[in-house]
Amino acid sequence: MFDGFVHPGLVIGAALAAVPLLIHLLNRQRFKPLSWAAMRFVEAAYRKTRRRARLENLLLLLLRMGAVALLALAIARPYVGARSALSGLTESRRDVALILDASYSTGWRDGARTVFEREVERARELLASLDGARGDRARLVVAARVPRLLSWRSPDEALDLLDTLGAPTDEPLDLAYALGEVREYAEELARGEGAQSLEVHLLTDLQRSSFTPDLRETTESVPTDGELAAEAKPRLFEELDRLKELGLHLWVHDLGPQDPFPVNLAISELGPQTRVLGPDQPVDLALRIDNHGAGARSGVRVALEIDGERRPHRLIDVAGRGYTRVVFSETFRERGPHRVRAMLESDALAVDDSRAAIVLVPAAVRVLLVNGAPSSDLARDEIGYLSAALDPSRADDSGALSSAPFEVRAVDPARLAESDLDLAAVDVIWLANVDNLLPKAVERLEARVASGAALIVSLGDRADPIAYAARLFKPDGTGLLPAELLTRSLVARDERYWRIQDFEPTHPALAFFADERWKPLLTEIPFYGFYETRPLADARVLARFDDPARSAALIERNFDRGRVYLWTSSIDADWTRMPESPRTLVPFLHELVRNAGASRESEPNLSVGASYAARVDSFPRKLALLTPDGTRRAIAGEPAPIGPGAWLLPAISSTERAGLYEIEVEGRQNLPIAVALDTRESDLARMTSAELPGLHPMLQPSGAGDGPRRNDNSQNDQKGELWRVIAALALACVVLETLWAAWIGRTRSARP
Amino acid sequence: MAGSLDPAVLDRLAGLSLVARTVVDGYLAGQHRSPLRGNSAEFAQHREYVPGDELRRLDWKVFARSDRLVIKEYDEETSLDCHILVDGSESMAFGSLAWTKFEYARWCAAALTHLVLEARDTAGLVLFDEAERKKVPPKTGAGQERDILAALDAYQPGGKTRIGDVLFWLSGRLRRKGIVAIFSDFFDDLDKIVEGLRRLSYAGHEPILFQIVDPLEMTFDISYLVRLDGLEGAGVQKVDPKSLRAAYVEEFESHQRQLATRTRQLGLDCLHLSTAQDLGAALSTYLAHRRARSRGGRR
Repeated sequence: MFDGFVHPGLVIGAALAAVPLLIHLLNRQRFKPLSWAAMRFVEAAYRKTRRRARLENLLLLLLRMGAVALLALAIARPYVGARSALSGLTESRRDVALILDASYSTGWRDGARTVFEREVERARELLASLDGARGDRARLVVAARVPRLLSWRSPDEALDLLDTLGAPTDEPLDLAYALGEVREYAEELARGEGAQSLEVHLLTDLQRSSFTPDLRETTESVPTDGELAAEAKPRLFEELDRLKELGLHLWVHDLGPQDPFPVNLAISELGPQTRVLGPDQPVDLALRIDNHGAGARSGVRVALEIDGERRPHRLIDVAGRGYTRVVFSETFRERGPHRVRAMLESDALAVDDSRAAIVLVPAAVRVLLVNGAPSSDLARDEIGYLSAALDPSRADDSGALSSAPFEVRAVDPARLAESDLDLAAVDVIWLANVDNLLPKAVERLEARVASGAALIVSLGDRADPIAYAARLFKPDGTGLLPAELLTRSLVARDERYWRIQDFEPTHPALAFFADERWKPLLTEIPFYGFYETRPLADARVLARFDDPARSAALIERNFDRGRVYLWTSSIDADWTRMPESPRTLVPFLHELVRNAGASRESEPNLSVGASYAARVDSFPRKLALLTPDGTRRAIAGEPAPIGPGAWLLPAISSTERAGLYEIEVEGRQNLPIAVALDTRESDLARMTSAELPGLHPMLQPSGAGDGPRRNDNSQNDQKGELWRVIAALALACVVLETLWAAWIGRTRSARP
Repeated sequence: MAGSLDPAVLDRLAGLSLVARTVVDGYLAGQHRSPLRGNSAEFAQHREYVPGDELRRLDWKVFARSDRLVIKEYDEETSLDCHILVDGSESMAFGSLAWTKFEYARWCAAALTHLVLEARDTAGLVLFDEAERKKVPPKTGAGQERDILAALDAYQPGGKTRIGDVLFWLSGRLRRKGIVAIFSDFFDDLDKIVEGLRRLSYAGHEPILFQIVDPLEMTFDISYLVRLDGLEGAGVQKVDPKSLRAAYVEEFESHQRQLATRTRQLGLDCLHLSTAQDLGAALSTYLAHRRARSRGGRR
């Protein structure tokens, strides 16, 4: 009779129809006994009225049971299909889910309107066909990287919310995620009336990458994340399969451009091509421009803006379905963050015609060299080569300004204990062949390293393992040293030597030597002495000698917020020939010190939607965020102390728009961050509607101009509810029962 | 004690003798003249006084008017027999008031006995159910009243009802013709009842039917579901009185109508008494019949 129930569990309520029967049966037990003389009249009357009384009572009982059963059925909300004989009594309420593709590709403008605006208009048409009074419901999902549910009740509410949608997002489309949102809703419905009643409409520009992310057609393939591609396809098809299991149909409305390869240029990369060493150093800023159109483009104007200052534009040519790199050479005079913007002449999709980036020109690393073996002879002085490599100006009396990215200062070990030596003004402390340290010095070192500085310890003939074990090394890891010094291995120069056998090529301090061209500079240098060590369990060995034990040469370990490096050999020429090889010594020291003293500031270049927490060196007051469109927003949350004089600002997550943001902190310069698009969305290559069913049977194209269209099959599959009719019948039973009971009572109470 | 016809009062009296006197006194108190004074004879004519006539029979008013000495002559009444028949079947044991139909019948019979014997008529008693159970042959005198009242007092109702058969049987057993006062609910086959009455009439008796019913039996006004346990083995019936009431009352009244009609057809009186009403009607009916009979006719 019924195809199912919206609330099948409530059907059990129909069993309550037995309650009137039970009451009737129980009442039959409550007869009071009475001796009676005039039984002949009772029996005569009984014979006369038995049949009628039974019929009256039966009808009354049936009306009561019927009212209860019908009411329970009405609450359970049965439904029947279109083919059912009862279909004429049904009301077919509509449940509609609209998925609006709000990825940034829908900002493509075709004439007066963008694709997104056309989607909104189509959504309005679909919603206008619904009738909230009949109980129709609308679920509006704005789909981008993360789907947003805007409305899930009345069509009128959905229409009002459509008015608030002005522009698409700056995000790519995760169609599987959006379908998953709808699928969850459909599953919710499936527990009741069946999800077949849910119509799902996807309003999109039919961008190929949204449906087949691994079928992008570009001449220069974007580094494909194999994992992502492998994951995306199954996710999307998995969701489509689940929707199919629920018996749904997904109508895809193609509102995109006519051209299968719409013309679109996009800036997909912007940033320094080489490492930014410091101010006054030339930096190559590279842009990549992708041409997603089929035809080549020539004479395209590209401009660069640095810190608000425009640079001369360039004219470029880009092949169809290809890309071009443009390099601007720039020299940054000041240290700190620099705001860079690249711009193309606008096309139909303007959002990817500009891109912003922050170029960080690092401050000089402040190095404190602690000389454990001073000497007037540079070659004999423990830090002689060290300081010469790090800060050539010190050894150079020419008076020329140093362009080295280090500020170097040297002291003797005893000074470390003195409180007037401000270690907070130092980023890296290098203990070079120091024999021992006063407890006070160790204490100050520990405090400074724990607050974020780096300590590099290089050994030599003066290093005393016992003293180091007493002051600098603790087996439980609470000491500064990452390893315990064991025995010293020292050989004569003419006897033999050791070399660095292997090292961590990906570690920033040693990455320079990963290049096969420079690798021998490190691995061919002879070493005549080193200390055998026993590293702590959580220490990281970055390089090893080629001795039988493969002893550690360079060990790294975190110490609270700082880091400690132990060079088990020396910079001394007695222990190694590295000082004699400037081509080894300079990059080795520079990379090691630069890495050790690298700023811990968060990377200010983000993707759309990423969150960012900035670090500042004073308590931040009056925080605000200036967005690319000029809006100022307060930053919610409290800054967290992360060390002496260091604070972590509350994380900012409202980076939904690409462009330059500024974090305003009272009393200091703004902290800029750059948010960039994921330009995979810039490839507007489209699918055709005809391809959709071949991709997955769930994807049914819906032509332009269609309203709430359904095909014949879905019309036949449509379910209609009967609850109103059944409720009316239940009410009729209640009314009839009341009237009938009153009539019976009246007739029976009337005095003869 | 003051007389009373109210059954509620009579219920509180101890002793049937007291009940009888209370009823009769209560009845007589309401009469203009005692039906029991004198010889119960009616004035017939005047005749001339002859020496030897009783001076108290002189009509002094005539003498005052006419100086004639005349005496009054009366019709002499013969002594009547009153046979009191009381239905002692189990159905008479029903009562929705504080007293049963049998107790009411007993009061009526006791009062009637007292009244009859006070009038120097003879009274006899038959207690019956499906057959004669107790008989006190008709006699006069105070001792007869004691015997009748004692028999009434001692009797416990029980047994089935077969009035018609009993009347039929009694018609051949009651030797002295008289008034037969039958106190019963007459819940029996009407044809047999009528046949029994006919036999009594043919035998020269004058049956008077006193149908005693309980108010509840008349109205069937029960407001709850009830399991009726029939007396005299009439079975059990679970009924909803509300649904049955109209039909029951119709049946009951039909029975009563038929009883009245068919007894009327026999020229008999049938008085319907409710155990809630006073006993005066019973006594009035009897006395009316007695007067008629004493004049040589029937009422």
